[in-house]
Amino acid sequence: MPKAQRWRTCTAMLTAALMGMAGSAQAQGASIEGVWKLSAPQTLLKPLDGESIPFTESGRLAYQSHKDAVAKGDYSFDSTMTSCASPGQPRLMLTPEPFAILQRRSMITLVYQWNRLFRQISVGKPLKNPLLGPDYELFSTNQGYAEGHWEGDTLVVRTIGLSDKKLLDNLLPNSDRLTLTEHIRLRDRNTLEDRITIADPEMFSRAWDTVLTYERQPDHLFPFPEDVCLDRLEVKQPPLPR
Amino acid sequence: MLALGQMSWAQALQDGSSPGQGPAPLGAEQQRQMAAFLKEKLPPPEESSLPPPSSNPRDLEGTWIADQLSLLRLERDMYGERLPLKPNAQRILDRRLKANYLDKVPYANAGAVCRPGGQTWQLGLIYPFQIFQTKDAIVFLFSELHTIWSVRMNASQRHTAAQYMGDSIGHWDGNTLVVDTTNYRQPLWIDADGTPASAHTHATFRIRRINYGQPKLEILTTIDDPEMFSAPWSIVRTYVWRPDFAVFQEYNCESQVSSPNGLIRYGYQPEPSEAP
Repeated sequence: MPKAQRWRTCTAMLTAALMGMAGSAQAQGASIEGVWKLSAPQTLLKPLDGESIPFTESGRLAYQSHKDAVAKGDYSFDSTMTSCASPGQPRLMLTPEPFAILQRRSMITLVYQWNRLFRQISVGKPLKNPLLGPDYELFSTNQGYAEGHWEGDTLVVRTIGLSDKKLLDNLLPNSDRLTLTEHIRLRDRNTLEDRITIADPEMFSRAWDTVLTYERQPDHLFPFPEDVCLDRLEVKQPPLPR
Repeated sequence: MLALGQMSWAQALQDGSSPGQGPAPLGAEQQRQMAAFLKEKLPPPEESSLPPPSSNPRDLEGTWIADQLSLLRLERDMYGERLPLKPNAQRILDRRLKANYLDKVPYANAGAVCRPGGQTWQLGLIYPFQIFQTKDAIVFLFSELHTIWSVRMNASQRHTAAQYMGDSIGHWDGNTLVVDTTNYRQPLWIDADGTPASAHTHATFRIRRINYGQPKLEILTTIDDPEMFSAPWSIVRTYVWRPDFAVFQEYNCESQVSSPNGLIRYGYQPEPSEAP
């Protein structure tokens, strides 16, 4: 083979290989790995459309009772505030401290500074964990069971199995029929956006959207200092901002 | 684990052992129970084959779980020598054994009050943990107590604030990760029975990948604590590669223990304050 032709062949093979790598990377989406923090402190979720939250009657009653209780300084409805219970999802995404995203092929892990909690999002087909039993995803927990996939550069996460013993934010109730659908993407290199669709037919008459944005923090902040919420609670510091 | 342990050791104590002397050797029935427990915690994977770990020996990432019987009390080091407990440490251990097996109201250790339990205690449990590696750190996530053990690689300065998991600085010695840990926030329970170590313990962990038929992680732990032990001593444990255990069960212990009578409700009592 002439030298020039060999070179063209090699170049074509290299290009094909690089395209293959790019295609593979594309299938895994963009890199959202890094350390992130809410762009502005926020304790309540706000509907993206600017409308009021579409409560059902029972949702409105629960919300109003929480509001009335807080006005009296009574947080007994909120196990996070009274005992550092996991805020669960999506409330953990509102914690004021940073979190780190560790992105691996089959799992994306969010490690929160807040009380050392972490969230696991299976990506692709999760391996069946024999320790958890066949219907683990339906067992109610505060973090729920999250599965994700990439749509272009957006990570789409569906979370089910969420407990009704927690809250969506500092006030909003949820039932165990809650489903969260999140579209997580980089708005730019230093801004992460989490668009959350909240569907809970017991508490809301229709699904509604909210958006949280995070600013990239220096990588060296992770690993985080050890945070122990119960120790903060013992010295009368509120577990989360009120 | 504790319930089974209480059954076994309590029986052993009734068989003639006394606190501080160590329990009687486990009988066949107790050994069968413990083997069944390990089998329950370490069932075979449901998939016919698991994706292998990285071939890079310095890549420790993945999900690991202890593949040996959990020892409620270490008693002996990796060479079979009795742990060199000083008399004050023996007194503390005796008191804890009495509370565990004779009074049957154990003292609350860190785990019982939902605090990180220290490496030796956490690594002795048969529950999975995950390792992540970043440019400057190696991080262990434990399913139990949502404990995080952070190792800062080649860090030049120690943290000033004491932490439940201590302050860990790591470096590579060939393909072995060597971690030096000091500055614990409180005294440690080395094992479930409560072999004591002080907050001034200097722990060294030598962590490496091994492969005897299947991928494993080996952790050799050396405890240097002149307050409790007359000489440093070491143990070695192994952990098997189980990527199918990657999805952890949520561990939300705070709400259980933080009520005023939380300890009593779960069968614990606070440890007398003079214990280190």
